[in-house]
Amino acid sequence: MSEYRVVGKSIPRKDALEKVTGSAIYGADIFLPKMLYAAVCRSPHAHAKILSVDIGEAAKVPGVKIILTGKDNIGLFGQFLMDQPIIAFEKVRYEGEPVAAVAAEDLDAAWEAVKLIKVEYELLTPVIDSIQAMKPDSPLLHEKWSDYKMAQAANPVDKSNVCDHFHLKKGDIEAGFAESDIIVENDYDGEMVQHSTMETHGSTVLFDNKGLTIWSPTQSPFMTRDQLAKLFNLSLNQVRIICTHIGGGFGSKYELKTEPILALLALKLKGRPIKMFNTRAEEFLTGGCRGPWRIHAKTGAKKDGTLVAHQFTIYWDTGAYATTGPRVSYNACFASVTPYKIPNIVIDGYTVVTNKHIATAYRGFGVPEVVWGYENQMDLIAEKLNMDKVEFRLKNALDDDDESGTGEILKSVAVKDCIKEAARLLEWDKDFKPGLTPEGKLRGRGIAAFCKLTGTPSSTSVIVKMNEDGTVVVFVSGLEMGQGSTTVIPQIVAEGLGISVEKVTTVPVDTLYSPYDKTTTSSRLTFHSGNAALDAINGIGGINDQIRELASIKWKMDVEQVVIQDGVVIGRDNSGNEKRIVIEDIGKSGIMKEQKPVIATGKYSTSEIYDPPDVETHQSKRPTVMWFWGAQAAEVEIDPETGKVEVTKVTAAHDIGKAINPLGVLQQIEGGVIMGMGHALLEEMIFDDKAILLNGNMVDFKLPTSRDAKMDLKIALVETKPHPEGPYGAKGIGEPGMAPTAAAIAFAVSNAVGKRFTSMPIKADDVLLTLKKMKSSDNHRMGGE
Amino acid sequence: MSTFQYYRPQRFEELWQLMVEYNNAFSLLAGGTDLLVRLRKGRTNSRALIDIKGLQELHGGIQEINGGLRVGALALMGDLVDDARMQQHFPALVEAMKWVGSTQIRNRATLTGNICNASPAADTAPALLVYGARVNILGSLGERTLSLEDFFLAPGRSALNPHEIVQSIDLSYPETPNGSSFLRLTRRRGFDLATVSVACLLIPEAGRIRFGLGAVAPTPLLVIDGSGVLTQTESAQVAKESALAKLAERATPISDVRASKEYRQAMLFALMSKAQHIASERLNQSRS
Repeated sequence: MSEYRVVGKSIPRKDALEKVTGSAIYGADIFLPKMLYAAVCRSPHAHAKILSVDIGEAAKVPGVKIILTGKDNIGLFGQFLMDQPIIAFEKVRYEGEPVAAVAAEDLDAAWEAVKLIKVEYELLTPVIDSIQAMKPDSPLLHEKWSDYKMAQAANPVDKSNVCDHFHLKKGDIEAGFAESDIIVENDYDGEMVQHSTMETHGSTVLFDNKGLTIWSPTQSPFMTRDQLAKLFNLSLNQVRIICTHIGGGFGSKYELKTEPILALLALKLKGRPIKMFNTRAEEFLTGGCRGPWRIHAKTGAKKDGTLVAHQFTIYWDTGAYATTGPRVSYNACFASVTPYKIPNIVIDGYTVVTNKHIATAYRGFGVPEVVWGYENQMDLIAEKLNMDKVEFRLKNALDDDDESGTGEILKSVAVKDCIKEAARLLEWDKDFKPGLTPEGKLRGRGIAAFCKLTGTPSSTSVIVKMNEDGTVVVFVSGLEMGQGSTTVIPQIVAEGLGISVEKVTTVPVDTLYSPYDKTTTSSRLTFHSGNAALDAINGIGGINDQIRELASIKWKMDVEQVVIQDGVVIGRDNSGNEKRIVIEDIGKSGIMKEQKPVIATGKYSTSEIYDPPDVETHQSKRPTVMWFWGAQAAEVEIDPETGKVEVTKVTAAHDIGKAINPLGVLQQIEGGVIMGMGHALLEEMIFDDKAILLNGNMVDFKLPTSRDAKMDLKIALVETKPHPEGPYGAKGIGEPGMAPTAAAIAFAVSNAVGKRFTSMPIKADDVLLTLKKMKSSDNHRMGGE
Repeated sequence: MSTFQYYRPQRFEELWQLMVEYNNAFSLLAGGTDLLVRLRKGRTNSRALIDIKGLQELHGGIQEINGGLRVGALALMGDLVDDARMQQHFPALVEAMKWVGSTQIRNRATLTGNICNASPAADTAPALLVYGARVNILGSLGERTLSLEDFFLAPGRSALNPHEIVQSIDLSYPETPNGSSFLRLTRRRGFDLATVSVACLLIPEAGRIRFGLGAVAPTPLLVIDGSGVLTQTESAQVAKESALAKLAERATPISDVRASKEYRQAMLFALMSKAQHIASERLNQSRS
């Protein structure tokens, strides 16, 4: 039994009603007086010189207020390397890059003008993938990295297309391979996929005497504010970001997208708000994506299955500009050390620019990709040693007090429990014969485990305010984007104060009054904002102290004579008389009447615990405040006549520490599993040999629909290792739900077919043609004997 | 979206006049479920949308004609799917229509519109082909009737002249006993376009089997085997397979973002044999 009253109880999401009834305000719902509309003229080529831009005819369209071109740029932006122009000048580096922007009285006029803009291009050889980009004679997208300002840590390789090189080293890799009894070496890769959020990117921007005001569904209002302030040379009080509801983020709304170009237009049209939302076609070109990736992996083990060496080289195709590519590589390279004990490790991550659409964060920051790579390796070793895949993983899995591949003595590691649970739920121990079933289907199963760190250091702050009736509002600057933060944070606050959760609500995020938070990424919200909220309640001068003070005034006692226990304010005067107020009923007590407002701030920062990784080896005593651990297993059935894969069963076990809202956690994992299934089997962005996207629409980019989500899904919330620093022991779950899904499904497919698939996605075409090839080589062999 | 004029003629003379005036640069609007998507994407050069729903003559719905059914140009797929006569005589067509879009789309989309787009992947075309549908065409110069096979010329191009419209589609009740089926391969379970589709009509007493094939040639394709090999249960498996393979050879699939040529070829054969199998099972059920 839980000792908590609110935490650990499943409650329906607080934002559900307004969302399902359509009353929630999304970015597209913003309509302001005197509002203008913008549209963008985009490059049809992936790599070309801009020879001229003629806006003569376009400017004549009635209603057009202004047209800006590359000449009007005021600077470059970027989260790591400031390499991206607001509007392309001199050359374009991807299909869809803005070459001109129009603001007009109505959207039709804006689009009409866009059509009339004439751009002359001289085509350049496009760099279509990371293989080509890495060649010494490859065209360079950016002539000189050192010409760009560095915004955060990145490690570009000059005179190359590598915008960041990451290197991690532990032990002696050569010695490790030398002592290995078996070594498996293989290549893995995956195609570009898009977040495909229901709401496309867009915003509304106003520039007036107060500065810039932006209505945007951003995951990172404070980062957006910082970057825009720098770009437009404004102070922080001159940039206000008002966050609208986010209609799906998954990382895609983490960086600047439509904001800079609209701000550039707004600067020239003072007092007129300007709005733009991507069409779905534009979204595919410019909304951000998960870049294609390639991995070369070499792993060595002893005969008894003990892992001894692991070398991993990853090439991230991050598209035309660096954006958050270096961070994706950093996070995923750390995760590439695997959830297993391996003494000798080398990880290299090359973040490479190509003339493809810009990649960004995508639920897991590269982790699902590296899991696909290293867990395939684990499967191969287990197969070679004829060991059970679960047993092999359990033998090597990390535990408390083990040293990780990143040099940390780990605490709070439940990956073994997760592997056991995922296997138990799939009935792994039951007799299972892969291959043909009596019904003529091919059956297979697979399991995959993962680890991921949360971005560290980072900080967040929260304001908690108690109203005169005892209800509470929480100013938390992490965004609700479906993960349930507007429910979880109130639960933590209600538990902390000893009141019911119905009394606590969160406030929409507006940088004008909301306190600082880094970003809504990295599955960090419950942990970081939860801790900050508890600090606001329990810290010195926090809500509890303020209540004690007000009670002492009312009761005419010393504040030291007032204590708070289990949601009750208790005062004992010197003569032993006792007074009590139940905090749930504090509104009726009158102690807040005509007093100072009950408002407290709290913060949580991980700078103090963070040990900056060694520059050469990336070894660190504490690279992150929190690791996520988990495992998933899957069973599939394949129709040998069509090659179509049906995912019949998925089991998911995640180290959640302590589930604040179990229902929300289950929903998060369920959503992650379905998303991961899409990646395993359906989704890919397809390009021609000029890096032009061929399937940028919802018909040919195959997202799973609700009908495709039919499967037997069993989820275990593993709470055996509460996080010692987490709020009530909680860990994050936003990204983990998807981290091992694609890998587990892929292994089940490989198991069913009897041949390993290494490229993501595994389409019906691939499965069928593989089956046919196997059949014909079987026939051939039989014929020859 | 481009600018265009909208017209809703009440009489055919008005319609012909508009068609002449806009000389090919117009689109006819019935359900609009494909047209609106094309308009939004700027994939049409039409300067005018001519809404034909004002023409009472086209609102004939589903009528019984001598030995069959006549489907009016504006008959909605949703209504056709629910029609008992359609279900009884043309089950493969009903199955095919159930695949079209979603309930909302079917309540708006017309059967005639689906064939007028002349898409090689039109969901209803294979079934209409196996049932020998005839297209009644009306123009300023008079009326004519074409078999559906002759109606499809190329991807997106039908035999309609710029001054003609489809008035109705005629379907004769197939000879009995018969068995029919429709199969459609898509990459996902939810709404999707066909990678390959196959309709099959089997008439044992004539020794004839008809297949309608979708998304494997520039137009929907009708292939027929009258040898009896595929209608007789006692035929040898090898003979059946070779007859099917011969029919499938008529298809000329291409590789595109939806599937490779090789996969389409393989799937066509697999779907044809499955469709034939289902059709003969249904035939046996109807006999027992």
